Amino acid sequence: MRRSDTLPTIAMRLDDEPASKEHSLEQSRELERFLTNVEKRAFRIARITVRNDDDALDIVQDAMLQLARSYAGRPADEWGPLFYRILQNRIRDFQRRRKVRAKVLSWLPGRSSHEDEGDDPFEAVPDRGLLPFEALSIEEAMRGLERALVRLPDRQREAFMLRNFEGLSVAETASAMGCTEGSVKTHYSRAVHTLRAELDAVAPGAPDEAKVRTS
Amino acid sequence: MSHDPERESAEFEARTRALFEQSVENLDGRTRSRLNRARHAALDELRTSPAHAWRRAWIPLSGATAVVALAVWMALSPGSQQGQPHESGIPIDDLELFAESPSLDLLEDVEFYAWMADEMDDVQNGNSG
Repeated sequence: MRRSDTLPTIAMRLDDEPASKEHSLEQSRELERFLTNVEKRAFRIARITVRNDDDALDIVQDAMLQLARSYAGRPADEWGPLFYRILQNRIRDFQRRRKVRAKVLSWLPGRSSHEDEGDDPFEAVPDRGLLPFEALSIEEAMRGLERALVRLPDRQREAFMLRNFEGLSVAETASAMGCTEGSVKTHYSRAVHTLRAELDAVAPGAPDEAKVRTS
Repeated sequence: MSHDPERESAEFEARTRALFEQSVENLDGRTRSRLNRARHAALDELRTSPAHAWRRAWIPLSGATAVVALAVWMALSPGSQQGQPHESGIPIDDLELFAESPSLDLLEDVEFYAWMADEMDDVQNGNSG
């Protein structure tokens, strides 16, 4: 190749460098907006399943890191299903790891598998910007809902949280859960049916709001 | 009043969604702060030098090595016949639990496996408790 052929290419690359930097900055800003938008909800979703603030925070942090490492270059509209897929995988891995730990601890003489589980001191922290009574009632209501959600089979819980809490479409939920759209519809419908039945059983005849709050 | 299951279902979904939204809004300062730090760590990852990637690659590898070492230790220890309880009281079949976990993330818990190996040494040496 002649030298004169390579010069324009090099010049073009030098011209492209600021554009590339700008693109990278824009990508970083866009990812920050996305993460800011999903992080608190993702934490709540993880917290419902793993029932521990620190573990839920670790899971969300891992999911954010994984998204940034592996998928930041993908179109922004793909980040939602990708992020929730990573999050759900992290939650499942955590549950599996917890089972292994419990099993191993049960092998060891004189040790209880619940040894390192304790009350979560942050559960009692009042909600931001609300009177203590209001805060308590919302927390209580949410805890009632969480208890009902935890009793659901994993796939039904995932479908309910992704569809109803996160507002993902059936197709996006299917992508996040790694299953068909038909399965999502089935899981979701069963979840709604079971949750309603369970909350009805707690306070039959009461208005729905009260059922959620008193369960 | 007419009974409309679809409408009732939609109302139930709306109420649980609103409750979830409220619980998200009411997250405490400590959690918000930690989420903020986690987000910045993820964004820093975008600027991380590829030279750091090899270090990350070693984490699951060392975890895998620890698990293999543990499995070999279990297999070579006396009383580790198939289907029989191990000398330390651990049924060999329980090791299937490890094989059921396809994700390498489980193997990243190096500290835990190292602690577990220590505990097992103690058990074998009669220093339990």
